[in-house]
This record gives sequence, structure tokens and C-alpha cells, in this order.
Amino acid sequence: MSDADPSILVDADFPGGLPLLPHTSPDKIDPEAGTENSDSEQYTYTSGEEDSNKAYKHGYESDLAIVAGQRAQEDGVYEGEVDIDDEEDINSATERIISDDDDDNNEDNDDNDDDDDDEDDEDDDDDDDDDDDDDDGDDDEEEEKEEEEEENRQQENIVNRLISIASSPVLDLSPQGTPAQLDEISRRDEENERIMDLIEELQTPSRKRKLEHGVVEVRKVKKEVAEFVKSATLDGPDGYFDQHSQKPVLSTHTLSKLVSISSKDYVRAVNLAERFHADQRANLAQLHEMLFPQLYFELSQGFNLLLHGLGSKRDLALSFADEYLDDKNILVVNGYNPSTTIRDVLNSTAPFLLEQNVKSLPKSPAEALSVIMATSKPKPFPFTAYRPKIVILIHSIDGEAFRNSRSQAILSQLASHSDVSLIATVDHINAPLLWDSAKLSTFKFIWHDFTTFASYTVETSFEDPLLLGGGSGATATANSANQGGGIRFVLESLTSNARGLYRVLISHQLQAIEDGVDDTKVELMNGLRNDSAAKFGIESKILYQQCAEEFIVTNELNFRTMLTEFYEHEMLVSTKDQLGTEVIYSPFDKETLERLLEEDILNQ
Amino acid sequence: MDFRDLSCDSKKRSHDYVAADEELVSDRNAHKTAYIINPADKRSRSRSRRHPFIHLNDSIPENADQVLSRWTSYIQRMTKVQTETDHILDNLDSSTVTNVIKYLRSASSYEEDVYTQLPVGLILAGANISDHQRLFNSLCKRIEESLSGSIVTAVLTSRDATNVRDFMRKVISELVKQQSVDDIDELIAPASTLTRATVDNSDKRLSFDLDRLVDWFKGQTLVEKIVIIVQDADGFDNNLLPDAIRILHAYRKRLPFILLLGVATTLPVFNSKIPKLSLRMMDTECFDVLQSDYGLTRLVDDVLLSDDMPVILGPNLFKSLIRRYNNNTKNLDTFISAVQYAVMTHFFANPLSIFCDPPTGIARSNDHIMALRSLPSFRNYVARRLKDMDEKGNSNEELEQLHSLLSDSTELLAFFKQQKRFLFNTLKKKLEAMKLIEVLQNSGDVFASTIVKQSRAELYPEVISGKLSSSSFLRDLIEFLAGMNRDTVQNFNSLIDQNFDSRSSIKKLQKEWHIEESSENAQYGVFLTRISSSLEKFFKETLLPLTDTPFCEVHVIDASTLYEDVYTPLYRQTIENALMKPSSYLGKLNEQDESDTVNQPLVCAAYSLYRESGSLINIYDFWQAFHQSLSGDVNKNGDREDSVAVLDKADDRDYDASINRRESFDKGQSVAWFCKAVNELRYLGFVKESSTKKGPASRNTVGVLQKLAWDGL
Repeated sequence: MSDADPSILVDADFPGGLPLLPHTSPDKIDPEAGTENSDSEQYTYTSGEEDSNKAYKHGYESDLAIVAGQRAQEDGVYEGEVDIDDEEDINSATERIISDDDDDNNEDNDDNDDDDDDEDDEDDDDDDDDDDDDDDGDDDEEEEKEEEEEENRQQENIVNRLISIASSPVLDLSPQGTPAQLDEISRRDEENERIMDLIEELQTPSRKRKLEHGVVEVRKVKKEVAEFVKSATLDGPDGYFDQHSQKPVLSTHTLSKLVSISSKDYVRAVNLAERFHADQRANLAQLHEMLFPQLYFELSQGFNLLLHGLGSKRDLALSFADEYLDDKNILVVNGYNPSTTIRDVLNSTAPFLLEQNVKSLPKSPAEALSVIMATSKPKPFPFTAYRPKIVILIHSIDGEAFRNSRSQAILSQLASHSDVSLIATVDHINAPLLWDSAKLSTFKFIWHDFTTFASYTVETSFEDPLLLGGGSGATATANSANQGGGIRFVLESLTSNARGLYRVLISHQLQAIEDGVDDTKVELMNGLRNDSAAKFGIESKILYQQCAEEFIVTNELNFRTMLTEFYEHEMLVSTKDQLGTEVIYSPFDKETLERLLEEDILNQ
Repeated sequence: MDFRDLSCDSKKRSHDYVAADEELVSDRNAHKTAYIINPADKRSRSRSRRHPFIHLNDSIPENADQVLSRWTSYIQRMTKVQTETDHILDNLDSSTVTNVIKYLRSASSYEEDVYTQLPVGLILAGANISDHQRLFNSLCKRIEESLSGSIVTAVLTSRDATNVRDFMRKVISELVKQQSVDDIDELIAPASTLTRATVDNSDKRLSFDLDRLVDWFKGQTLVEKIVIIVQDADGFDNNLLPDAIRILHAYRKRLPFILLLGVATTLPVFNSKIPKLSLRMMDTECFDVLQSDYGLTRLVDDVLLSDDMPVILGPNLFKSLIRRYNNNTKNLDTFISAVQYAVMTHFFANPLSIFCDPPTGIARSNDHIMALRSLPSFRNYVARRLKDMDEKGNSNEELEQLHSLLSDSTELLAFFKQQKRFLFNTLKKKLEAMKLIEVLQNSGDVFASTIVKQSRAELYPEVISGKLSSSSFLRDLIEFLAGMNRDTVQNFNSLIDQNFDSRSSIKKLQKEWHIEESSENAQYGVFLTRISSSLEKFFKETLLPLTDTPFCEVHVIDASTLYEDVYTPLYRQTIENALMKPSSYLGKLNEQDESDTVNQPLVCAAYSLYRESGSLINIYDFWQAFHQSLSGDVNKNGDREDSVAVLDKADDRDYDASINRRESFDKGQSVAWFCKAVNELRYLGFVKESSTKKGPASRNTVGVLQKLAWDGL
């Protein structure tokens, strides 16, 4: 057996072990990808933290444009009035503005925006970009030629300069695609190109000659090509067929090999992990917070908000509610809690929307909803004042509790109530499947990318993270912190005779392990039985005899019935060695077995 | 802060885990199911928020009045737009509703007792279920308005009833309740409780027994017909509807039922669902609902191109909206709300939107004027003028004029006003051009066979962007004009009379054509040339691109990505991209190496391994690879020193973190991180723990994760 299954993950040939996608830095992409990056290179950052903003901001220009002004003001750029008659003032002012813009990393060049757009849509518009650039250049020249008078030139300067100020917020209302998309597109291009290059390289005459003379390592180049091809087919349809073309081969490594840790260790480790990228994540959150006024505006106009993206959005949503909805009633629903029900939501909402006594609310959610909805009035648009009777904030509207069309239908109806606003977060990758067109149109969601990278600590706290390893409680607990918990639970529910049988089995198995390594018999058995644990197993006939001696079982049938119970809980494994003898063993490791034996439970 | 806990805490938490949990999650509200935050409990911040607009000082320094002016003009304009759209939406279904009501009136009445069948109205509302709600709402409203008293209605959806019993119970409760509510209105309070009591008391019959309804009906003097409306008749389980029809049919002599069924599928499909036995009992009548495309045309004409609309939707934005409408929603409400959103963003985020309305005494600062001058469209305009002058020879007068535009703010504002008027006039002409094209398309049979007809929605972006004037479509149209026969000309002429009022420019054109001359054979050829050339000229003039007009940025909004991001985001791609390339959100994770797995967030590290794995993942192997990728231990070529050297260079907090990661990096820790990462992947829906599989070689149990990225394919 190898260290790791070759079909999975670790490619020994690949330096680094992980045939990851070749991540190319933006700077390398630059020459092909247009002026976007070269422009961003001009920005000088005074502190390292700006770096994180940089990449992100590409997609968020407009949103930033809305709010970045506050920062500009803080920086003191717009202190006092700009006097238009005094040209020097204007120039210096505009210069300041422009340099400030640079600092703020608002891309103010129109051509850049074009590039962004084109890249976003399709990647074949390079020629167009060039044309645009040329045109602009011509225009500038024409203007310079004509505007000879000093005044005019000054004026022209102003025009030119101001374009950079005004055009960015006015025209760039659109986020130009998320940064990730852009990167992804350029990365794919880059990748394809490199593959093509490599393939070409393999075929150029000089290369061929070199190959013939053994100058170049053929293997290396071939391997590189293979890597790129492989990484290109991880996702998309190619990836699907690639990964489903053959039956998955699984290695036989069991979880018992995994180092066991306690809950305390887990908490310590996770708390440590929280510190990674803390600064960058804080920056990201800050950027999102800049959108808060916009979110409030959208809410106030009768739209509902849906925050999506990777990472827990709980804290952000709560802080938005705290800062901007401080004069509203807020119902916070923890959708990630599996015991939350749609009834909880209706019951908590009703007191705010109904004047009559809440106790008269019908039992069935559908009827309760119709009672609540009867109080809804047609929504006048636009809203001049935002006074919902209640704002519902649902963390994980796609949580287990709401993962059925009935709940979603009720929620969407509730969201369309004239006195209700809804803010929801969504995490599951298939969440949009919950909503059909009717529900979506009643939800009236505005989607916002709120990728935070915050860990889902709260959201995932309803399942023990250490219970990894699956459906069977036994295997899972055997490796987790509370070792033996699940086994103990099963044992407790069994008769004392059955427990006795298990005791006989594991004491035999432990004995075999003790006798272990030197024993020639074991060596022999090892050849016959190809699994590590199985070699310490006990032949079922011997087990039966021993149990019979101890009056644990009375007959073969009785014995088999007891075994079935253990098989079902996967606390026993039965296998046949190469001689055809049935061997029974417990799949747990030595420590677990010892601990079980030490505990009283088996002897009661 | 006082949080009212409204429900029990989670019950599902395993008792072993609570200890660990409480250390990780300090917020005691985190595990409640739902709780309420009251404003009264919060510290008062007394933030006065008269309106939600903010200062856009980033681009143009604004004072409070200017912000307020943007807000008020937004409110005013949007109110007008909203009234108009409401009007359109209300009238959209009106013809259907009128027909249905006519049918309800005329349906054979109860006393005559000549009919043996149950009257059933089938409303073929089309596949777009999101519009149905509105249709049935307006239907109910109209019934209530015009037939109040004589007809009572019970509205059901398939969700309300899973079996016949529920169906009947719902019908009875709807009707009886409805009436008793009416009683309350009429009678004084104590009496109303009495009437209620008489309804409920001493009735031992079951709640779904229609005899209850019979009794109730006997007490009603006004009610002539009982209408049961089923909004989604396709949604019921197979036998429910036939059964219900049979029962209603059986009671038809005692209770004057009329059944209205909303059908989203087609008639044959619906027929096949109902057995012949039930079909025989039905006396059906069909009502076709107008397709919402008609509504879209109305919307384009009356809202998007009207004077009230504060901004013009640019071609890209419109195309993106219409694409979603055609391919996904077919829902006018969604379309309208998207238009609203576009306008919202314009006023919210564009400081120049202050120019959308005529000045109301609020001073626009010099910055505003400067910003106007700096608009690309204005700049292009100036450049164009200068180029023209260059070619034609320098004219001082024009230069002077340009100069004044650049230096004198009143000149500029006057020019702005003039351009604005020009823009909206062109818009009106464009609307007329579109109508004319439509008229042309309808005027001759020949037309349809040669050129594909274009709807209003298809024409709109082409017309706005000016692309239409150079399109083959328009060329074909002109050709068609030149070859019209007499019938077509007559048809065309009468259609123009119908569609355009006397003030429109088309009418003026029409007079120039001297259509009466077309009857003379000799003149006919000349006439055709005249009409085609005059219309060609008309199209040339009207179909100029709007985006060439100076200051069009103030009036045209054309950011399609803005709309797409909030309405049709790449939801899953966002998550996957964040996982694949965290640096695009977090910035560089490492000074040198972008593909550095050591410094990735944990979940991203796990995901990159996940992507490479097959459809089943052995948990132990997964961890092993995870451990290696974190520790950077896998480099067999001695690259490890290199990565350490990289770390030495870094000197920010990230460095501390990674050092921490390294120094205290043991297997236990990586197991913990692994559990956390896998747990988050599971929460996101990427993996599922499958029931432990038996390894192939042994009969041993192996922990396995099932890859769900392809799930459902």
C-alpha cells in the first residue's frame, strides 16, 4: 500500500505534490490583458493593507464611488470651495483630486473601463480597445492643435483633468464583474496560451532537433503539458467526464489512522486559525460596510436583500441591522439552526403585524400566513419614508429548516408584505434551486456579493466537527474526541450477554495484538489476511466456543443473532481469510479497545 | 439590550460538544431559533435620517440641499412612472377579466335548473406562473366591485388542499367566513357575536360536509352564484380535481357553483388529466390571457419613452433586461422592478442626476458645472466641432461659441437645456419611427415573407443606439417601400390614420406623399419613389445614436453589469472563485508566490484539493494531502528552504500567523483545521459524508466523502 492513494490528490511526480492550477500573478498577465493591470501598477501604496483592497476594488468601483467620497473628504481634499476663475487653484485642486483618486484606487480612465467591460463580456475585443485608444489619441491631438490660446489650453486642461474626476463615478455605475471573474478569465486565457505554447514548442523544428539530439528533457516538457491539460479539466464538463469516466478507486486507509484530538485542542486550533488573514478579512468587511447606505436605500424602496458569497455573513448582517435599522423592530432568525421552523418565524412576526390577539393565530402555517397577509396593503413606490413594522433578518435562508418549497413560499409571501422587509443571507451552493420564478418575483431580492472569508463557526456549530467520518457513529466516535461514546451508547442498549460477547472478542483481539509482532503464526496469518486489523481477529468458531463456555450464548442461532446486532452498528467486521475460515474482529484501534475494556460497561 | 427569546434553544446539540462550542461562539443569541431586537431596548442614537441618500463627495462635493434635491426629484419622477406602470399592469388583464365576468353573469342561473352540467371556466393563463397572482387578484377585485353580493367567491391554490376533504373544508370556511365578516360590518357588535354563535353552535356535521354550505346558502338572500376559483389547477394531485368536480356536480342543484380553473399548461394537457367521466359533467368555456409581451410593448411606449421617465435606458442595459425577460422570467413585475432599480441607482449614485429636473432654486456648485464639461460626450462634441472647423476653415464665431461654453457657466447651462430638449424630442421621434416600422410591418402580406418582423422590444436597443439606421433590416424596409402595391399602400395609409394623431410628424410626412396620386397609373412609380425617399430621410434623421448627444450621461443609463450583478449574479461562481483564488478578495497572501497553498485560508486549501479529487474522497487521504499542503512539506526537491526564505522576508502580521502556523504545527492541529475546513465545505454543500464504504481490498470501513459539486448531473 502506498502512502496515499495515487488516484487521489497527491501526485508524486509533481514537485510540491499538488498539481495545482498555475496561478499567474496579475503582473504577468498584463501585456495581453490590456491596460488594466499596468494602470493599477501606478498606484503607490503607503501601507500593505491597501494591497488587499486593490484586487477587490476592481469589481466594486461603483459601490466605492458612492461612498469613497467620505474618505476623500476626510483626507481634506475638498476643504473649502474650488474657485473656478482662478486657474492655478483649479489645476492644483484637480491635481490633488487626481492624485487622491489614485490613492483611492478608483480607476478613472475610460479606456480601462472599456477593457474591463470587454474582458468581462468576451475576450476577443482587443482590437476594439486599440481602436478606441487611437481615437482618443487623435482627439487629443486635434484639440491641442486648435486650442492655441493660453486660456483655452488651460481650460482644456481642466476639461481633461476633470474627466478623470467626474467620469469615474458618473459613468462607472457598474461593477465590472467581480475581480475573481476577471482574474479567472485572464487566467484561463493565460493557461490556454501556455498550453498552446508548450505544444508548439514541442513541435518547432529547433525543438525537434534538440529533442532528437536529446538536448531537452522530453519528459519535463511533456509533463508540463500534461499538467496544464489536467488542470484545465478540473472544472466544467471536461472535469465531470474526467472524474466520472472511471469508477473511483479508493484507498483503504481508515480513519483510525487519524490523530485523535480533543474538543479543547480543536477549539485552540480553530481560534488560532481565526488569526490568519485577520487584517485582510477586516479590510474586506470594511469594503462591504461602505455599501451599507446603499443597502439601506434599497431596503427603503421596498426591495429585499440577499447577501451571498463565501464566508459567514452573520456578523456583517447584524452590524448593518445594528447601525442602520436601529429604530426598527428586527426579528433575527437563525436559519442555520436545524430546529428553527417556519412557525417560529410566523409566530414572532404576527404580533407586529396583527392588531388582534396573537393567540388567535391559526395552527397551520399556511392559514397563519393568510391571516397575516390580510393586513398587507398595496405597496406604493417609491417609498418616501421607510417605516416597516418589522425587519426580518434571516441568517441562512437556505438552512436545513427552510429547505422545502413550502417554507420558501411562505417566506416569499411574508417578504412581499407591505410592512415587512427581509434581509437574508445564503450559503449553500445549490441554494438558488429553492426558488422558482414566482417565488423570486415575490421575494424581490437584490443580490449582493458579500464574500467575507469569515469562518462559519456559528453556522456549523450544530454538528460536531470532530464527528467526521460518516454515517456510522462507531467509526466516527472511535476517532473523535469522545472516543468510544458511540460504541458505549450501542453497548448500553444491548443485553448483558451481548456485551459479554463483545468483551470476549476484544480481549481476544487485544491479546493477539499484544502477542503481536514476533509471533510466527501472526506472520503467517498476515500473509493470509491482507488487512492489518483482520490479522488479530478471532475465528468465529473459536469465539462461539468461548462464549458457550462462559454461558454467554446457548446455541449457534443465538450467537448469530447477537453478532448481527454488532454488524449493523459496524462494531464488528467479518471476513474470510484465504483458507476460507471466517474471522471476526473489531475495526477499532488498540487504544479504543483498551479503553472499552477498562470501562465497566462490558462487565455489567 | 434585551433580547426576548421566543423559542427554545437548539435541542440538537450533542451534549459532548457544548463545552467546545461555548468557547468558540460567545454570542448567546447565536443558537436561538429566532429572537427580536426592539428599538426601545437599544441605545438611542437619534440619527436624523430624512432620506436615505448620501453625499457623493467623492466625485462632486455636494451640500445637503443638493442631495435633498436629488432625492425629491427621484421621488417625484418615480411616482409618476409608478402610476403609469400600475395603470398598464391593471389594464393588462382587463379584457380577460371582463370576459370572465361576462361569463359569470351569463352562466346559467340556479333557478332555471335546466342545465345538467357544472359550469367551468378555464382560464388559460400561460406558463408564467409568477404573473398569475396578479391576474387572479385583479379578477377577485373586479368581481367584488361589479358583482358584489350576488356572487361570492372562494379562492384556492393547490397548496391549500392535498385531498378532497381539505378542498371542501377550505371552500366552506372561505365562504362562511366571508359572509360572517360582512355581517359584522353591517350589524352592531353584540349582534355579530350572536350570528357567529348560531353558525358554529350545535352543528355536529363534519367541517367538510357540503350540507353545511347548503344551510348557509339558504340563509343568504342576495347570493346567486358561488364561484370557486382554483389558481393553479395543474398543481393538484391526480384525482383531487375530478373528485371535487364530481362532488360539486352532485350538489349543483342545491348550490349554484361555478368553477374557475387557472390552467398553466395547455388545454390538451389539461384534458388528459381529467377522466372522461368528470369531463362529461363540465360545461367548459375557455379564456385566453393576453401574453405579457403585449404589456411589454405598452411599457416601452408609455413608460420608457415617455417624458415622465427621468432617464433613458441605454441599449446594453435594455438588452440585458430583455434577455432575462425572454429567457427566464417572462414576468413584467420583475422587469419593472429592474427598471426601477436602474433609476434608483441613477439618482442615488450619479451626482449629475441633479440636472434631470429643471433647477428648483438650488444652486449647482461650480463643481457641477465643471463635471458637466468633463463628460466624455461633451468632450467628444467639442472635439468634433473643432475637427469640423479644421476641415472647413477656422471660423472665429464658432470658436468663440465653443470658448464660451468652456468658460461661461450660464452659456453651458443654456446649451445643456437645449441639448436636453433635443434629446427628448429625438426620443419622441424614435418612438414614432418604431411605431411606423410596426405599421409598415403590418401593412402588407408580402412583408412578412421577406423580412423577419421585429417586435418593439427588439427594436428598442437598436433604435436607441442608432444601429438600426445602418442595419440590413432598415434597408429591406426601404426596399419594401419602393415596391409596395396599391393594396399595401392603402392599408399603410389607413394604418397610419389609426395609429398616429394629427400632430405627429408622421402625419405631416403623410401629407407630403399625396397618396391620392397613387391611383393614377402614370404617377405611381413617382409616388413610390417619393414615399420611400421621404421615409428614408425620416429614418436617417430620427435614428441617430442618442449617445452622440452631449450630456447624454445625465439622461442615459446603460450599465448592464450593474443590473446583472444584483439580479442575476453568478452565484455559485462567486463562491467557487473565492475558494479558488482567495487573493482576489484578500489581496496577496504571500509576497512572491500567488499559488502559495501554505498561506491560503483553510477552506480554500481544502477546496483546491477537493477539485482535484475523484467523485469519492477517502477522508484520511484527504487529510494527509491537506496536512502536506499546509506544512509545505511535500516539496521533494528541497524547495522547502525556499518557502521558508520567503517567509523571512515578510514582516507583517501575516508573517506572525504563518510562523505560528509553522512552529506550532503538529498533526493534531492540522486534524482540527481539516475538520473545520471539511465541515465548512459540507455546510456550503460541496461534500456529503457518504455511508462508510468498504474498502476494496479489505472488509474494513473507510471514511469517505462524496463529492457533490456535480450532484444532480
